[in-house]
This record gives sequence, C-alpha cells and structure tokens, in this order.
Amino acid sequence: MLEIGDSEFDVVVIGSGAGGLTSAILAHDRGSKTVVLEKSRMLGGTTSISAGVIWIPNNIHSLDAGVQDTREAALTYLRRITMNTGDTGLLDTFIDEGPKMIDYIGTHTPVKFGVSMFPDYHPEFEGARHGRSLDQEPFDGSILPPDIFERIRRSPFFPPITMRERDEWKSILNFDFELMAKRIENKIFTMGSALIGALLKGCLDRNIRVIPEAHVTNLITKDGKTIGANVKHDDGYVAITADRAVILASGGFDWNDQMKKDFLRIPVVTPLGVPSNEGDGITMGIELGAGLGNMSEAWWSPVIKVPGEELEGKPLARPFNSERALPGSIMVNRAGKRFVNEAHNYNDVGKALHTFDPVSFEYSNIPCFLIFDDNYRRHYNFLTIMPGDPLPNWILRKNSLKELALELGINGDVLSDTVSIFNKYAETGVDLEFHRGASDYDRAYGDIAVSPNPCLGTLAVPPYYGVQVLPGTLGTKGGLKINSESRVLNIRGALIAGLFATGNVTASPMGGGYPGAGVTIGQAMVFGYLAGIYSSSDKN
Amino acid sequence: MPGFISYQSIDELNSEWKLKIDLGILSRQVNFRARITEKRKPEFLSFELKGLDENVMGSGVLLLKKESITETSVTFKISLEAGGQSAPLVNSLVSSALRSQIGEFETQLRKILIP
Ligand SMILES: Cc1cc2nc3c(=O)[nH]c(=O)nc-3n(C[C@H](O)[C@H](O)[C@H](O)COP(=O)(O)OP(=O)(O)OC[C@H]3O[C@@H](n4cnc5c(N)ncnc54)[C@H](O)[C@@H]3O)c2cc1C
Repeated sequence: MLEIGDSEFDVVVIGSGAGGLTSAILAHDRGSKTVVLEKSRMLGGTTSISAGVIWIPNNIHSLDAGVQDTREAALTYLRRITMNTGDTGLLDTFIDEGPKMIDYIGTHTPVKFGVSMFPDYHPEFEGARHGRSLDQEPFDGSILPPDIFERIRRSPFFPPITMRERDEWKSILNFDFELMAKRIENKIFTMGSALIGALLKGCLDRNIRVIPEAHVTNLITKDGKTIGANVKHDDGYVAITADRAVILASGGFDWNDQMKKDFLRIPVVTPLGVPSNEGDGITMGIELGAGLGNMSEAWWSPVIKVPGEELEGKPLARPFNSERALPGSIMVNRAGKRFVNEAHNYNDVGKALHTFDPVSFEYSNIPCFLIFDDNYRRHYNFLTIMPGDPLPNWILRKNSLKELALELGINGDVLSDTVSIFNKYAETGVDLEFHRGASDYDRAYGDIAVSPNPCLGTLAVPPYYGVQVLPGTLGTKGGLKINSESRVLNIRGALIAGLFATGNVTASPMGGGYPGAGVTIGQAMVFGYLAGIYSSSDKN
Repeated sequence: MPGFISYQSIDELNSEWKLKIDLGILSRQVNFRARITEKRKPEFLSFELKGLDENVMGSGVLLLKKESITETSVTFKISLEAGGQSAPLVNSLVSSALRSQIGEFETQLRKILIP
C-alpha cells in the first residue's frame, strides 16, 4: 500500500481528499485499475480536518427524514445564491447527479450519512430548506491497518463529536467530554476524518492503491492526450502511466502565495486548509492549455490567528462561528464601527472583510476586531478557551472600552457609541442596522436561553476583551474549467483528452456563492463521482 | 512533545518554560511556571508545573543513576493533568502525545535542569 510498486494503471488520481477518493472508487468499480497519489505524508487533504458535512439537495436521506425538497426548489435557490457568477450548466449537473452520488457512496462503501437539520446559509431565499446537509456517522478507525490509521489527521478545529451532536448540545458547556475522550482512546473518527477513514476503507476493500508521499510534479502527454504523471517519491522520480485517464483532485492554491497574489480579490488571505494544497494541479492543467475560471474566489471565512499554534509546520488560524453569534460580542473595524451582521455565514462575513474604501484607499475592515465583555467570557467558550480557563496573552483585556480601543488601534469614541447603540438593540431584540439574529441561520449559533433575541446581548460588564480578525479561506475555489462529465476543457473550450478534475482544483460552479453547510465537499464528491465514471469509459 | 522553545530562570527554584506541545497535527505553545520541589545534585530532581495560559497542572521527577563509568540509567516521570470541564478530552490527547514523545522531552529536560 505504501510503495509505488508497479507503475501502470488505467486511472491515476492525484490527491486523496474526498474528491480524489470518490473518483478512485468509481473508476475502480467501472473496471479501471486505479491508483491514488498523495503528496503529503498524511492522507485526506483538507477534507480530513473539515467538519465532513456534505450539502446535496434532494438526497434520499433528507427526503426520508421528511425534508420536502425538489429539483426546482434547489435550482431556484442555487441561481439566487450564486448570483449568476457560477456555471449554470454545471449547477444542473450538481443537482441531478448529487443524489445518485450519495446513493452510490452510501450503499457501496462504509461511509454512513446522517441528516443534519441545519438551515441553508440564506434560509430567507426562495427554494432554501433545512436538512440538505449530511453529517458523518462516527467511523471506527481500528478496522484500518495501523499504517493507514496513523496517516489520518484528527482535526485541530473540531472535537471528536458529530455535527448532529453539536447541534443538539448547542453550547460547548453541554458537550460530553467523557464520550470524546473514549472516542480518542478507541480510535473513533468523526466529521471529516470519519469521511476520509470510511472512503479509505472503501479503497482498501477494493485493493485500490493509495500512496502517500507521492508528489506529482507534472503530467505526461502523448499526441495531445494525458497518459500519466511524473511522481517525486522517496528520493527519486517515477513515471506512472494512465491508460485511460488522469484525475486531478489536488485541492486549491491555499498555500501558494504567488498564485494568491496573482488571482485572489484581496492581497492577503490566511489559509485554513492543509499546507500541501499549493495549486499544483492548476499549474499542471495550465501547462496543458486548460481554461481557468472563478480564480478570484475562495470559500471565505474570517479567522483568528492563535500565536504558537501550528498545522504541520505552518501557522494555524482558526475559523469561528458561535463566537460571532452569541450575545455579548460584536465585530468592529478600525473606525470603531460594526460593518456586518456578525452572525451571518462565514463566507458572507468573510467577504465583508474585503470592502475597499476609495477615499482612505484602504481595506476598511482589514484587520477588524471581535470585542466581548466579561459577561460573555463567563458564559461562553472562546475558540478553545472555556469560561474559567486562564486568559491567554493573545486576547487583550482592559477595564474600559476606551483603553481596549487604544491598545487595538480602534477609534475609541466611535467604539463607545457603537456599543451603546448595540446595547439598545440587545434590549429590544432588534438589530436595526444589520439584522443579527433575524434568520434561522444566525439563531442556530445563538444562545436559546437568551431572549428576546438569542444572538443579541449587551456589552456592559467590564473588563472588555478584544482580538484581531483577518480574512481567511477554507480553500480556494477557482481553477480548471470542467464540463458535465468532469473533463478538463482547454482555453478554447475543447476537451483535453484524458484529463479530468474535481474539487477545489476546478472552477467551482458555485461562483461566489456558498449555499449551505457541506457544498464544497458535496461538489468535490459529485464531480469526483462523474470523473470516476467517465474516465473509465475512455480507452487509449 | 518535542521540545522547549525557551527556558527562563526566575530564581534558583523557579523558572518559566515555553513548551511546544504536539497533539497530532496541531502543535501549540504552552507556557508553564516550573518550581523545583526537591533537588539532590547531581542525581535527583522533582518539580511541579502550572500552565500559565492553560488549565493544566503537572509534576515530575528525574532520577539519574550511575551504573558504570560509561553508563547512567535515567528514570523520568512526568504527569500533566488538565482541569476544567474539557479535562477528560485534553488529558486523553495529552497522554497519547506524551506516550509517543516522552524520550525526546526527557532529553531536552535533562540538558536544561542538570547541565
Ligand atoms: C475547518 C474547516 C472545516 C470545513 N468544513 C467543511 C464541511 O463540513 N463541509 C464542506 O463541504 N467543506 C468544509 N470545508 C472545506 C473542505 O474541507 C474543502 O473545500 C474540501 O475538503 C476540498 O476537497 P478536495 O478533495 O478538493 O481537496 P483536499 O481534501 O484538500 O485534498 C487535496 C489533496 O491533494 C493533495 N495534493 C496537492 N498537490 C498534490 C500533488 N502535486 N501531488 C499529489 N497530491 C497532491 C493534497 O496534499 C491534499 O491531500 C472545511 C474546511 C476547513 C478548513
């Protein structure tokens, strides 16, 4: 399993995230001798550290759970949320093929889905639903060979619980820590690592080779067709041939500073994904003349950098959701003003950080700040810090808002005014400026014990606390253009023979939109499913 | 748990350690106040640890025994215990990290405490 061994395959898959493993399983089941090549020593890509949620409208599990969904409703919602920035043909494909992919993976692999009744990210839009997101059942990692088990990451972002448990327990203060400790001791994976564990088991059961530390450096072509890949493995290079096709599933360009500078809509973006996602697949596609799309976009998120934390040698930043939605916190910019409904979904709040002010010629909201009071600190966790834990030195604490503002570089007078206005909203329960807490999405992260609005509470009890917030991304989503069979298109729209792609290496059909929890893995698996099927219908 | 980032002596008994704790793929810096509770030069040392920014307490002993001119046997024990509500989870993570990296940690510690 961990050696390259023979080097002749029908289908070569590059990248072992959800997109890559799904395509490998389908390619194998359609009769192809398949190999998965993974650059990192760890398997599963960003998928393995994610929440592992998959957004697929009209899927069988959600329908069985009583969700009323239709193709038309899903398409209406998707067209609205992508604002016509995506590829409408591929949106149709996503909606039509998504339920088939879920059926297939759910019945032919150890992946077990549960239904999360979480709302879509704009529940107020026509066609939105609750319950389109599928969660992973816990996966028993002890059934994997030890050398594979050890190569699956545990997420640094999520404790070993399921998303449904999180929805049910609401606050971290209600979490079952004994259960979590047992899960670690018993090698039980949840969320993204459960998805990767189960997909890997599906690969092993089929004798599909999954090879870590196999860094693909370039593709090999003959007479215009992709016929293999050169791989840096151990100390040397090996040419691996693909009789039918190569499938790129190598993630985005999250950690490639030059590509981010060249393509993204803002200059500095902090990545949350795995450090091996450096845009290699996009570069390899460009070398073969591939067309690009959606290159300025990413799955955005505001992030907080915790000094001293690292992910495989790179600085780790953290996304944060409930911290923005719970009563007693606000986000302000350097002018001391709120600029967004803080409780909105991370993609849209992330975008609000990109606002450019032509007068000051600055990005007005970079950096911005999350501010909370002592009442918040005593009731809620903040990232990994529980109420009662010692305060780490990267969270600033001051006895007055003015002192806090001075230290953080915020206009203190404006901040005081902002807080007084916000405190009035908290009392009435209505945020007249940004409507925080008005939608089901916001309230899913609020405190249901607080009324009249579970997302609004005053900031009135000193000391006050503040941390810097920066623009970040769960992964980039611009890349190679593909068609409805996941075949890569060249710059003129013609097929590049033998080359397929899926996931964040492709131009996402979602454009700038983020419809609901799990769309990024959903998209990677749907187009991976198609890449697996169609790659195996091609023969040299 | 490979390694000290820094060690700063405060007085003969007290010091501050910055440790890099590796919990699987997440590593983070944890700052401890260390207090030597007993020292019998050159072979025995016991100490207590208290997390400065984390709810973690600990203690340990280091025992060196000269077996021959060229050989010294080393006994090293360290226990870290998280407090607070998330303690079971943190303890479970820390104990698996400690188990896998104890050797490296002990070497680093010996260099600093018994030069
Ligand atoms: C904290 C967090 C939570 C998230 N939660 C969710 C969620 O619940 N649902 C959701 O839909 N999305 C979620 N996301 C986003 C999601 O994880 C990613 O968008 C998705 O996993 C991308 O899948 P992929 O298959 O395209 O790439 P990845 O899973 O990143 O896999 C790409 C793989 O390709 C490998 N690779 C790169 N270059 C090469 C090369 N040259 N040779 C060989 N291999 C190579 C990489 O090492 C990597 O292992 C989350 C992200 C984060 C950070």
